[in-house]
Amino acid sequence: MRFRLTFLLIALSQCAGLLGQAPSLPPGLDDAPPKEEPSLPPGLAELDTQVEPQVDTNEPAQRRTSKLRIRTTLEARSGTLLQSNPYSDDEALSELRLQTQFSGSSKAASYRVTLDWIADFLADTSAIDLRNGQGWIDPREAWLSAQPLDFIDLKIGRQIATWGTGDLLFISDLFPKDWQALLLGREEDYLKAPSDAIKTSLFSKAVNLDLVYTPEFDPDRFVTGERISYFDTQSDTFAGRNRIVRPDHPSGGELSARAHRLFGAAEAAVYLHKGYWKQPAGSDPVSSQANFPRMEAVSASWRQPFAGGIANIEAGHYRSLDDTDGSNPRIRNSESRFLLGFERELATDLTGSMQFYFERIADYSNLRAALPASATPPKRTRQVLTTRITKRMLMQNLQLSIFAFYSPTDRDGYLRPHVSYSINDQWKASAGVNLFFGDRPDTFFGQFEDSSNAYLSLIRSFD
Amino acid sequence: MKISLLVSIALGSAFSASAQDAQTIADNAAKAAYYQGNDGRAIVSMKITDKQGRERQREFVILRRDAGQDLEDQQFYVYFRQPADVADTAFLVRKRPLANDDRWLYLPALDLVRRIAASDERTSFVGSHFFYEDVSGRSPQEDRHELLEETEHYYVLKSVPKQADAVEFSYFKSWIHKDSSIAVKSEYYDDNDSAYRTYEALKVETINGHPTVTHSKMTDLIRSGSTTLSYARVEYDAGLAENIFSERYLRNPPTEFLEF
Repeated sequence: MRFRLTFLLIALSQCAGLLGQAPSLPPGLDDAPPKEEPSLPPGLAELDTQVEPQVDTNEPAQRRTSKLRIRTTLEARSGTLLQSNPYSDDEALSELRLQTQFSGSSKAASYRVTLDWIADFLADTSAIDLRNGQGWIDPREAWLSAQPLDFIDLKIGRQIATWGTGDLLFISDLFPKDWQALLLGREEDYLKAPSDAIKTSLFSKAVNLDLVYTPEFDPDRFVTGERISYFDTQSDTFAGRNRIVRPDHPSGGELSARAHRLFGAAEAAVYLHKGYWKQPAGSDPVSSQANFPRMEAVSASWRQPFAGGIANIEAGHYRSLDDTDGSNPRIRNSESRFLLGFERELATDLTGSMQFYFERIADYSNLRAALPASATPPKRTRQVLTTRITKRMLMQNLQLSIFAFYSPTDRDGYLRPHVSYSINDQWKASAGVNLFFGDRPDTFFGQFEDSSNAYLSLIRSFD
Repeated sequence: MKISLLVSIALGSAFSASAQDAQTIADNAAKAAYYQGNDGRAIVSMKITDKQGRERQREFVILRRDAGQDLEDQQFYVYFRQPADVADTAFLVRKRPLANDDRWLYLPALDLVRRIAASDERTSFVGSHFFYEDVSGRSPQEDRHELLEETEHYYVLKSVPKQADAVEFSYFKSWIHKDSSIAVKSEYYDDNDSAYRTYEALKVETINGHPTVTHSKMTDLIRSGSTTLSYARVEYDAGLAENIFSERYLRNPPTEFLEF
């Protein structure tokens, strides 16, 4: 009975909604108009009688210098391992993060300073480590940008830099990444780590050039064993908090360059990089301390609309400069990398993408010859397939997504289901899982199997 | 012979006159809504209300430039100011009325220029009741228009999609103000002939000589939510250069044109 009443009420309200379109009579009209006809909105009724076109009634244009803008975000995040791991703590994340962002601009220049104030309840120390983003403050951005000439942009200071076409797979982008943040389940915004750099961009009709000079090498924020355990190939055992990787940092800098332009709707780019491997890819023959050997890379990418979606292709060659013929087993060999991707909308608010990626050791026979007879040689090629599916619901306030990596050559993988919900314009909650699996302990994802974790977060934004 | 040819041409054109008129009316409505001046900009406040009455706000600056003649290609640059979690995100669209648009999104926290694969223009624009197409304009070439009625103030058009499977409506009806060519109201109908979505122009201001809808509302009649858009500081022929609509200015927002 009650149900029927509700139904009736709903039906009535629907009818009322439709009938409600019958507008009020436009002023000055005697004849009853057809019932759906809208009344003239303010501004049109007077149009005929208006002698002079009325100029903008809005406030007058203001000065060109914007005031200081401050934005604040407070985030609480907690994560736990899904299984016990003898090499690490059970808790993966337990932190409060207050981000304050100051920005402003004038006609001549603009700036932005983004500071993360961190209370990390799992850290052993709150000492500041700008390179690893540890300690009670992580300055993520502090840059000034200017346009000294029409065709030049300069950006100087601590900044995040990104280019290339891959999704969580990188070939041309050799700017520092924060793999710990990704594997532990921080916001995807934290995937990129900052660099202290000078970025110069030159623009012309024929081609655009970007040059990023980093005076002091910034490595990736990689897995050190502190939070996530890893497989140590040298000792053939797992290691974690008992053997935290503390590599020797080179004193030199890095230079990255990109030339890019559009060909119709297609984006083409070529890239050069001279610097170091972004993760410890070598070790000292005497002390066995991990280090970052020199490396240079050349690559190219192409991205364009294709079959109702976007296709991208990217390929590159990394040359290991401290081991050019690949005969030193202590230093990572030169390698080629290739990526093919496609993304399209599958249905309303449902997007799917796929990537095929491989990396191939360049001087494989030299490497094999140099390895001790007892050592298991690595596979020459590592292939990875990825897929990302994103569904937005409830007026796009609820987002469900999954990103999956699978390597048919290593027979390992990584699943990243994630859900986030915008409760309102200020509050956002999210949760997710980082699930690693593999047949062997020494493969890229397989080594993290016992570090699989789940996380929860709550974010409050203030304007 | 000559005469009969002339007669048949005359008859032919007379015969197609009303269809032609409906198309012209629709073209003029699209010009009045999306092609005033050579370029334009505005600060847009969006208020999304769901059926429970909960509100969400969005604020963005929109820059528009016509790349060709009226009803041809256009470029849009949308720079978000509110809410905080999307602030400073920039969105670039190269609109091609008869082909898929090119869309890029810039995420400042990652310094990432993403290409958007979305080909469906009838999906919600930033979670509102407006679709992408409502913001950037649906090409009048995509529908067959019929003049249903002419009233004192309005032409009433019925527009049927040429590609029915590409859209969610079976037709829409619009009330186009005769003097200004402004669509004052549009109703979208489903296959059962029932209206499920309504657009209303709530306020018109004449800016730089162009009558402009500065307040509008889209209502979802089924789920009973609505979104209102308010355009402030509308300005036409602001001198927006073509190069603003490029990756350069996605990464480095053109403050000069965004703060006004």
